[in-house]
Amino acid sequence: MEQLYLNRTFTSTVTAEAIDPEIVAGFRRVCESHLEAVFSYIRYRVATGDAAEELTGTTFLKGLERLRSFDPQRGEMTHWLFAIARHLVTDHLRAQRRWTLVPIDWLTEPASRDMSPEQSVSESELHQQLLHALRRVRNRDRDVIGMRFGAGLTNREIATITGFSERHVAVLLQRALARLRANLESQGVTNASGH
Amino acid sequence: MHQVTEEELLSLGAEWRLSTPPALRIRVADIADRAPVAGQDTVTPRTKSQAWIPGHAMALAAAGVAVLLLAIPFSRDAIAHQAYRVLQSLGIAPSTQLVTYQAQGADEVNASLRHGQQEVGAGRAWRVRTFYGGFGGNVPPNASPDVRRIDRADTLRAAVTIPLLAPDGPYRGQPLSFHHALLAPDGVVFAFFGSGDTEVMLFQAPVVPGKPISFSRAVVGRDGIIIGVLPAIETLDIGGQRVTWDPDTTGLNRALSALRWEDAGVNYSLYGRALTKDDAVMLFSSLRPLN
Repeated sequence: MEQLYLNRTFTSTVTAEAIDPEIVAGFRRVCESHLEAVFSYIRYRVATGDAAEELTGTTFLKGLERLRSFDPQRGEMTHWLFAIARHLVTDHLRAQRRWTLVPIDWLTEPASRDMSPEQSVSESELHQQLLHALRRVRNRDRDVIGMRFGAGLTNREIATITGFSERHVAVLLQRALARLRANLESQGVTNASGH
Repeated sequence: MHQVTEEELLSLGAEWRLSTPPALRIRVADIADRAPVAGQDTVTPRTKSQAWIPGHAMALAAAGVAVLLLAIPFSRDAIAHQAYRVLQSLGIAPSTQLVTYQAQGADEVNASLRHGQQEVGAGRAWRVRTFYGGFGGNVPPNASPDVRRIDRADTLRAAVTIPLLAPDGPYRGQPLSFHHALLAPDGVVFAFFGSGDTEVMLFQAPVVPGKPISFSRAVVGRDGIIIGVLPAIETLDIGGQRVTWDPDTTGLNRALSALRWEDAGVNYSLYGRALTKDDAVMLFSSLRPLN
């Protein structure tokens, strides 16, 4: 039986046929516990907060729509959800073609209004440079960096999501960081490199 | 120093996790509620869908934490110093113009940003970031380059010579009261009213003959190219005052929309979170002297 659910912000069709209550409970837990991680990961991948917000919401909505296909024997729900997020981000980036519209504000980072403008400028300088450098690295680099530092996933979890070996993930991450540091160095952030 | 980048990346990730929009939290809570459970004919929304919104998120929403930079910094004299090439300049009032720049390469953009940072660093220019864009100007000779934060309306009134206005809400059901202001060295005032999703900012700048204030929007391509975005203005007459509705044309941030006008030697721009034209007209109609 198909049931159409409507609300103010989106329209979606989900199958109202009952799903294993444990899976539903797991989905609800993940919605609560991993929203910030998914948002942060996507925020690392895309250029604007608005796009990240939309893609994050869509990730969970797709998760709901595909909940019936989730097989707990094949892995954890969080990994399954991150896989959905990665696909959505990939589709989003493809759709941007050459002219990805990124507001100029992406060259800077969010700062607290409670700080004085002078404070904001000084405390955010490295973040600004970091954002600028991130914008220049490849999507694949941002993918692993986003999973590791945005979502806080372990290399093992990233390996599960990507299908790579844990060792390969470590190498990818190392190379991505090296390229990021090189970009930072090119901006004159010398303390970002070296061992 | 290997850890520096990783620490910064973790810090950035933590910052973004904290900045998860409350509206998104509510949306995802709603999605969670829609998961069909055995034995339920219909899926009813959780009545306390915000219950698990962390306290810090609500605090952030109340504080309106996200501050973005757009527009073109150093919008008065400094345009001449920048590498930007003007594609279109649209005068909407005697001393107000909407400027659109031609596409600029990443190197030119970086050079302009560096120049701006140098000017600020040398105390020759000021810069303010707000949720509604970045603003900047020149520091008058012998003036302090500091941008002052002022938390009291009477202190603000005493510090400036221009007639200050304030919206006299309510706005979206919430009362609007003076929250704080930023006062730039050249007398430009950024006055904030209300908070969170119902925050309103009124940009108020003394008109300087021969030095029009310019507003601009641009987006940056993946490869660092800046692309100017043309405005799509609408001129309105509200109670005999000619005003210009200048909506966001980037499609990326409705907070960049503004209602602009000049009156009595002051340049005004009214901004608000997700401001609509109807909101702007209503707020304009409610303006009173700041008490």
